[in-house]
Amino acid sequence: MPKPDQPSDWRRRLGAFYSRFLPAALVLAAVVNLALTPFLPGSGAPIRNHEDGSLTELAHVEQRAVDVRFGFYLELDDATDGGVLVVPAGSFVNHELAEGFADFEVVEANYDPTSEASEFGSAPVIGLVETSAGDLSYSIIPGEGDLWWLAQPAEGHVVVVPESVAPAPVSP
Amino acid sequence: MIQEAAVAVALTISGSALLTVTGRDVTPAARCWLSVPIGAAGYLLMALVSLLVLETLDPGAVLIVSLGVSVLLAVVQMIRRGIRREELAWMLAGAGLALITVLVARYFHLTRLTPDSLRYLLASNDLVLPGGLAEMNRTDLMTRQIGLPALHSLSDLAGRRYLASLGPLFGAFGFALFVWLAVEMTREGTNRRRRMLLVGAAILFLASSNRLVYDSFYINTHIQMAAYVLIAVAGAWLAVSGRSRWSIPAGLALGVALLFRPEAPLVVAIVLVTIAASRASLKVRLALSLPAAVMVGVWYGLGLWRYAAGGDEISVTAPVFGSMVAVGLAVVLCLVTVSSRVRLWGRWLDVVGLGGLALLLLFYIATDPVVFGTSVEATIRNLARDGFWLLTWVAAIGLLVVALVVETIPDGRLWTVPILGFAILYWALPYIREGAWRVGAGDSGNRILAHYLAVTVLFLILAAVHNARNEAR
Repeated sequence: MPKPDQPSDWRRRLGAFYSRFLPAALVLAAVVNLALTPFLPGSGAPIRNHEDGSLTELAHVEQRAVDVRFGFYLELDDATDGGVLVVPAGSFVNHELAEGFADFEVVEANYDPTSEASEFGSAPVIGLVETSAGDLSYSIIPGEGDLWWLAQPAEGHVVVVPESVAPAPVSP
Repeated sequence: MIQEAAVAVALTISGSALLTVTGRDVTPAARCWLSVPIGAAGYLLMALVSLLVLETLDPGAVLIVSLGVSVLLAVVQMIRRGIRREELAWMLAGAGLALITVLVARYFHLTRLTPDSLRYLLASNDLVLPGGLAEMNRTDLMTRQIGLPALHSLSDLAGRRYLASLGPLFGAFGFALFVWLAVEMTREGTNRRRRMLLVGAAILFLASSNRLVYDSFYINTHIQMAAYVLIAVAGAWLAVSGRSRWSIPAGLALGVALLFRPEAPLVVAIVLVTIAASRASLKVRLALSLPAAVMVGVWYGLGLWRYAAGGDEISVTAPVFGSMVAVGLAVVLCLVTVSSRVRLWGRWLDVVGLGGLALLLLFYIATDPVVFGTSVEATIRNLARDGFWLLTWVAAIGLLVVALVVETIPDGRLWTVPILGFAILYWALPYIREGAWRVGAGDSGNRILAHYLAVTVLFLILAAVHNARNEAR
């Protein structure tokens, strides 16, 4: 690889200026970065994950054509119309589809399973996601709560519960 | 936590032991900071063999085998030339830093998860099943690869679903390596006071970069890719500049990067074509290019070809075949141009390659200007505000333009060509992946900027040091 030619005068002057100016420019940018960081949404207060570092365990309530895979991810083969997926407080539900996708919607955002409230914590917010026919995949991300709630399972529900408290499979 | 700490220490020891083959060229301190990425590279090579031969991944067994092979290599080195106290001390320092990182990572629970993270973690569960690669989603196999999932499979040993310390380990060791490189590369350029000022400013600048710090806690491939790109580019320059055995970690970094990102073959090809045009010796070229050649042959040829969705499609635009062609061609060029017969034209190969990439981009823009327009708008908004980079790239790009004009670094094209190549690749990727960059911190385009930040900042300070040196003469 050839050595660069002797720099011309203007390049030399610009280079000298650059060399002198660089530390100040970097420090200035860093100071502004640090000063503004607390104002970035979500940057100052990281979401706390699960207390025990686990993700979730899924247990399906009834046996009809529901394939539960791993704690934090499930695939519903030929999900039935009107099936309901119970997800924990603040969860983000992402759907990705194989063939025959059918739409889904959150049908109830503040479901409170009172019977377990005293045992597992306070102020649960459980989202219910209604499934309809088709092959669906959901990935579920925990919200800010440390504890996950064991909902009162109803017919057709898939329940998302913490690994540490889940008796799997859960019976209705 | 004890198991997770043991995994981290095993990776560190494995990396340090493997690097004993580099002799004096890579100092014990440098080996210490390289130990996590190189230890992980060793583990991943064994994991790949296991997945292809045994068709499953037993993370514990693979970790033990990779540690065993590395320690064996270190013992051979010890018998041949002994071991210095300094080497042992730095190895223990690496293990100590790994322990502290695990403790801090687990205590503070800073791990970030997005839907992408969950796909990686799902894959990490698939790989340990019988028929590992066949279990993994066929599209994810191509787009997410197996590097990160195979590393997170180690969480099985700790009874967890992911290793909270994996990102922080790459972040901490990658950052320490950056500091070491900054100090080392500026050693002969300027006076001590000015050097301290320059290096200190660069360290502060990198540490204040919000997205790079975020990536250290985010379960995705970005912090790993940033570490491997840094090792590859800086290591290649050091190897060509006289410390030839830096080509070993740099070559390993190039090879293992192919397991992390779908666009990695193009990144690797850019670096290899730059080396083809350099004055690197045959040994350096072999060490830099062979890991990538083997990896693309084994992983793309035997793994993705068979298991990925559309993997056996034969076309230069097909992800698997096209990637094999790109890396294969770059490896051939890297090895052929060492011959004195082709040296004369080979020395401009990097510039020709850069021109070709730019022409390809122009072709893309001409065929679909809307994608480019949308990507430009999204990038400007991301760099200025929405991508949470704050002043990082605004400052870095401005300084980079000046540095590219004034740099007088010996073998400087080993820095400028990859950086320009990565920049052109950034604009070409929306066409290759068939979708414009979008506005937001979570967009892929915004995230991959993290891969090139440390290399860019290192180039900025090198350019300053060599200008200062010229000025002093």
